[in-house]
Amino acid sequence: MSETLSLFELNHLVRATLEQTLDGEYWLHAELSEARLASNGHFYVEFVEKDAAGRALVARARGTMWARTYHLLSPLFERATGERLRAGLKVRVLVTVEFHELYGHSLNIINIDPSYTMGDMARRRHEILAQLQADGILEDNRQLPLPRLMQRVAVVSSAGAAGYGDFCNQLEKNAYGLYFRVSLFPAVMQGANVETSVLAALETIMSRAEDFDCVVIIRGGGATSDLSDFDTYALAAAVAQMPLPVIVGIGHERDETVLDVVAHTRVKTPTAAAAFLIDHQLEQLTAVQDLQTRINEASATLIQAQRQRLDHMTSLLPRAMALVSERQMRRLESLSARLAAAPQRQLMAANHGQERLWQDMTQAVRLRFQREHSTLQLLAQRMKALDPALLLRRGYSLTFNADGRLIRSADDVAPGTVITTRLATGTLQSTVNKAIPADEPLDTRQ
Amino acid sequence: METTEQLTYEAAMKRLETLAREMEAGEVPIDLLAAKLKEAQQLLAFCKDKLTRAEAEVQKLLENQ
Repeated sequence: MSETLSLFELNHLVRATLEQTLDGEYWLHAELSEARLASNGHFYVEFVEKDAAGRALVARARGTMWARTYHLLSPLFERATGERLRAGLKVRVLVTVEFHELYGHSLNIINIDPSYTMGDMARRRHEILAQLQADGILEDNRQLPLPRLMQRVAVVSSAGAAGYGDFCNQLEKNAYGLYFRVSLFPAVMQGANVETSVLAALETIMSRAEDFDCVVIIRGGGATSDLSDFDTYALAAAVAQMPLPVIVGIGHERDETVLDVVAHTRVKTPTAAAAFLIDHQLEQLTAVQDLQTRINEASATLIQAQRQRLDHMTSLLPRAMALVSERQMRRLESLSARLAAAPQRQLMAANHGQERLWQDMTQAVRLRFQREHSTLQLLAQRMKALDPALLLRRGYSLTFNADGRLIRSADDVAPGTVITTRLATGTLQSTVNKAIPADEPLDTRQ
Repeated sequence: METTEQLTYEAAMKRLETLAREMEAGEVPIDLLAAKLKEAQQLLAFCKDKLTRAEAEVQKLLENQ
């Protein structure tokens, strides 16, 4: 039966054994599952190793970077990788193995190799890009045409970030009076929530895509950190498939994120994003002014050409007029000659007509007179035959009663009546002895 | 020409480019030149306004009233 050890004695034995057998420095690669800067300046982490499928943990160990080392190494690391030392990173570190009777097993970090982390991040980016390529969406956003008018800007950023303020200032105070309307869609731009938060913002913008001309993703200036938060497939796919051109200003001087690759345009800072928009709009202003110049010059040229044509015509005019007027004069002359001749001819024709008419008329009158004349002669002869004087002279007489009425029948006269008989010369007054009717023979010898 | 309410910057610029090309090609009859110039000037003013003036903002304010 061996002696019984106290816990301290056992732990001390472990520590002594470790110090004897693992007394050197070891390069170790592992993933950081936790990383925390304590108020005393020391940096505490937890290393993990996962199985091949990347799910189950196969190893775990605590690690410490003492304050002095941390102050030395962390700026170098950040400058190289663009990342803070944080959970989720894969790191290659130089460690010594420690064991403390009270605190147990721990790895003391004495150096770190940023190129390993960079390589890992690059590999991850590469995998994401390869996947986007395979899905056929890698180039989608890059190939969108920039609208000529990019003034309704949807910004994904954190509201309080200095970068967002810079961006707005820059746009507002542009020297050309160009107008922009900025709408902020707030999102967490740092830490573990970047992916979900930015995705939510992009989704909101997507649902109102017709209200905007472009999307700008920017984050605050100052410390460069946590770029790899943006290196996720979901974010990259969302940006690639955005129906509006996306301008990304989250970059680091040296590295590019997956978003930088898939976005339509990548710039380094929010200020540069603003400058990009201003430049684009300035190009449009220049284009408008160019068009104005072209139109003014072209219309001036057109007017000038017309004026020259007019001048040319004007110079041709006198000769043309001379020709025309000469021709007109000739026409006038011939017209006037014809006009002068015409009335005479007409008069002659008229005279001729009148003469004939006159002859016709006189002839008609003459004939009429002759006809009337013969009628008159006939009438005269008939009249002559009826003349009572002529009859009286032949022996006929006219007998009137006392009233002066002509007596045509013996029946009209009673015996004793005084009658008056008119002869060719003179008049007889007699008294009727006897009235003999027409049917009794007259004996004149009585 | 479309009325200014419906007119987009894109359409205005395209029309202006067409007008400029026509004029440069001497295809504009002199009778129509004045009308085309007037149209071009309106379009130019519209485009410049779009780029520089807070027209959209004014619109928004009006809508909110």
